[in-house]
Amino acid sequence: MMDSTSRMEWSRRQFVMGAGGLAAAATFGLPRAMAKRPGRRPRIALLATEVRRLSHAQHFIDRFLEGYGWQGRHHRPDVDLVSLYVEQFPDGDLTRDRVRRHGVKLYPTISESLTLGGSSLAVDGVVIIGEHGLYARNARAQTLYPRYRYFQEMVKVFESSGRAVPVFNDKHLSTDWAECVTMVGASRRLNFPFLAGSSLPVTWRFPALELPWGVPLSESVCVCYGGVDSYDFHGLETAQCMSERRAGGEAGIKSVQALEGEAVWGLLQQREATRQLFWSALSRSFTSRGRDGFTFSEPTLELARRHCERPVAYVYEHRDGFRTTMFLMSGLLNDFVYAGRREDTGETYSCQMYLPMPMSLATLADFFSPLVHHIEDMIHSGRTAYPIERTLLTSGMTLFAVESLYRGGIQLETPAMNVAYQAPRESAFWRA
Amino acid sequence: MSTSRRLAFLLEDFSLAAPSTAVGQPTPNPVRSTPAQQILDRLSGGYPRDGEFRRPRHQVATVFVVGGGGAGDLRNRLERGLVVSPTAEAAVRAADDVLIVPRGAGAVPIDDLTRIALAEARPGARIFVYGALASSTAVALEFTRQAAMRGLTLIAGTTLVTPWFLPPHDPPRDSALREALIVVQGTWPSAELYGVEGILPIVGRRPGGESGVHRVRHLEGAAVWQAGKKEEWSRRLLAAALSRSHSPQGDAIKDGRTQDLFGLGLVPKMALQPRAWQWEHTDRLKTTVLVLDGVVADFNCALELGDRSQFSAQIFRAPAPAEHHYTPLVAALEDYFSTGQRPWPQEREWWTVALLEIMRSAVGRSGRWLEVPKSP
Repeated sequence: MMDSTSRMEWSRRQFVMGAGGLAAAATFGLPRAMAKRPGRRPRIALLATEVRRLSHAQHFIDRFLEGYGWQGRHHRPDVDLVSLYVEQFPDGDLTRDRVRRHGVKLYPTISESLTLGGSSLAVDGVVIIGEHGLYARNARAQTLYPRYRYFQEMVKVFESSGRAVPVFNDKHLSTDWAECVTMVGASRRLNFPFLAGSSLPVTWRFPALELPWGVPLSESVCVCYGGVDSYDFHGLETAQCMSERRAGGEAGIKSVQALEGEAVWGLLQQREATRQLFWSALSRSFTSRGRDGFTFSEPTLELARRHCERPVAYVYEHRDGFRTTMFLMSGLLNDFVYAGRREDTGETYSCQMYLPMPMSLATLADFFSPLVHHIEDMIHSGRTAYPIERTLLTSGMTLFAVESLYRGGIQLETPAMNVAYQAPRESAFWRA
Repeated sequence: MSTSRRLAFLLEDFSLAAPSTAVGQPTPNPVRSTPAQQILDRLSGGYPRDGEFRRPRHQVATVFVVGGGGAGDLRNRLERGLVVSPTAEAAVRAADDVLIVPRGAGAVPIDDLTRIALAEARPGARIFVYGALASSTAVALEFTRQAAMRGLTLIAGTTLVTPWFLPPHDPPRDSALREALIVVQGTWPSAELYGVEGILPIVGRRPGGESGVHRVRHLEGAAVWQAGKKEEWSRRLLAAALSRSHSPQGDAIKDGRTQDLFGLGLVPKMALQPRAWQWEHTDRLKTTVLVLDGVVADFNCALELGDRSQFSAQIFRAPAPAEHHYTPLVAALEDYFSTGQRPWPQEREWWTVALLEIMRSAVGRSGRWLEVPKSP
């Protein structure tokens, strides 16, 4: 097994090899992989790790099978979920209930789910939900979800069938940079639309901030909660869907450093610009904890320290000098808030990416609805609402930060993350 | 530049925020903390607004708590300079302006506190009553006349008059409306106040504003659904309103499924003791307030516009304990205390009282249309 250094070197070579294709990815309106067939509803397959109440797969499957509230009505998707591959069946499994009630077929292998038991690809879209379930964790505390394995098995079917169809991958692509690059490279090579990532960029925003496209932004800050190799990815997607709109577009990441504990408070004390954005972002939180006995109170570093016992921060220097800082502040807040500074005027933009989270104010995780909507659109149009390069970059930002944390918070140079792209002019967040 | 004013709070209760109602359980009453605490903490300690934490513009000078309920929780607010007064009269006399905040949703006003405020306040004072202005139209009229006579400004309302909508768009302004519907939850009369306060500002945006309501009908139980089948209220609007909910009950709680509550015919089965209030406005607009416990646990509304298109939205309430949907209300109050300008029409406050009054008299007379007294 390669050590982490050699693995990253290899990752870099792999990326550079594929860079020609990825550079072209700036035009994310991809060639259509699926010719729309008149008179037939598109059929999709969903590959999942497990399906239980509130697992990611349950959210996606039920929206495809039951529909969901969308633009003032209960929307029934214009695609048919016809096949499932599910790997684990924990207590509370809902797979068989959904199969029984909706007539969707459960296949024992990925290949069969994509071919519907035949010899070649028989669906018009693939949804990969490799989140939740019992999977091994490595020394870096990364959960080794099988997204890459699912993807590769799917690619084999595409290759043997001589055709490919649009694909959605939930959350980050992989825990290994080389695998991330390979996945994006395959979508280029086989010419299929590839959408991936978190629900954070597409959920409601308070306020409904559309950051001006081409704005001269100098820094982005996201403050959020959750664990490493988990909600950190959501926090990075929160920041990146804003940062990518800056003048010149995304230039890629030059270096990564992850901090924890005292070093995080030190960072906030030392960097005034970052600290101001931290407060501005926190002002958008609905859940930021204040003094005991008060509904809320003015946030201070002292209060933040008291409520957040194990802060984590990921600090990124982009190749154009732009900076992203993501704070994981479990205990201080339970939402995802963003602030960015405009370089020319000093103006600050801020908002909350609002998640109506079950067990809080909601019973459904409706932030999955816009993701499902974008998957439907992709399958019909052959176009993705936002570029896969965003998720490639945020996958790398996550895994390199985890690597930095594992190595005691050292700064890692990341020439591999030379991922440049332009954001679409219109954000795809939920506002109707 | 506005001048800082000294505020007196007359409260029925000041307890620390109750735990949020657990989602997944029927929500008989969605009130999650004392409005007194939410408003006082913002006015005395500041609050986040427009991307920054804003310091208070006015000073909370005095607080009087009826019977001392929850007054112990005020102890750690004393550092902010406020004084707990032994009497409501003393509290009012020591301030420029007055806030009166009853217990709960504000559906049961404490008329006696308002009378004290109207009698003791300085000329030019600005008074705010959380919830309904008064317990009846007769009392509301008395208050309005006395305020005018003494040169006072008197307003009333809840957070629902300064709403956040999901999606984040205001209802159409100056569009003709055919029908309006709002879904709320809770016990009488809190739920009814939510319904009235939620829908009146929305329908009041039609051309000419609120023309008035000339009659009201109460329905309960199966009669609610029978009236829907007979198109006496719009089931299309109910479907649209429910599509905006983030908190369907029933199977959604059991296994997370995103079922079409309306399309599958589940709403009548899920609703616990449903009640409907139908209003006929003088300009032929029809409004329905549906109190549906056990169906969804958030407030949602829908409108049918003159061209048959629809508007629908969730009236968003933020999580406890901070409940930041109080922020727009407090921002409006700060402006009100600074300028003396009413943040919303006086007539709407009268209609809230009048509708609650007629709805109260309709209880026990289900199915009958009752005439509403004319606005003064």
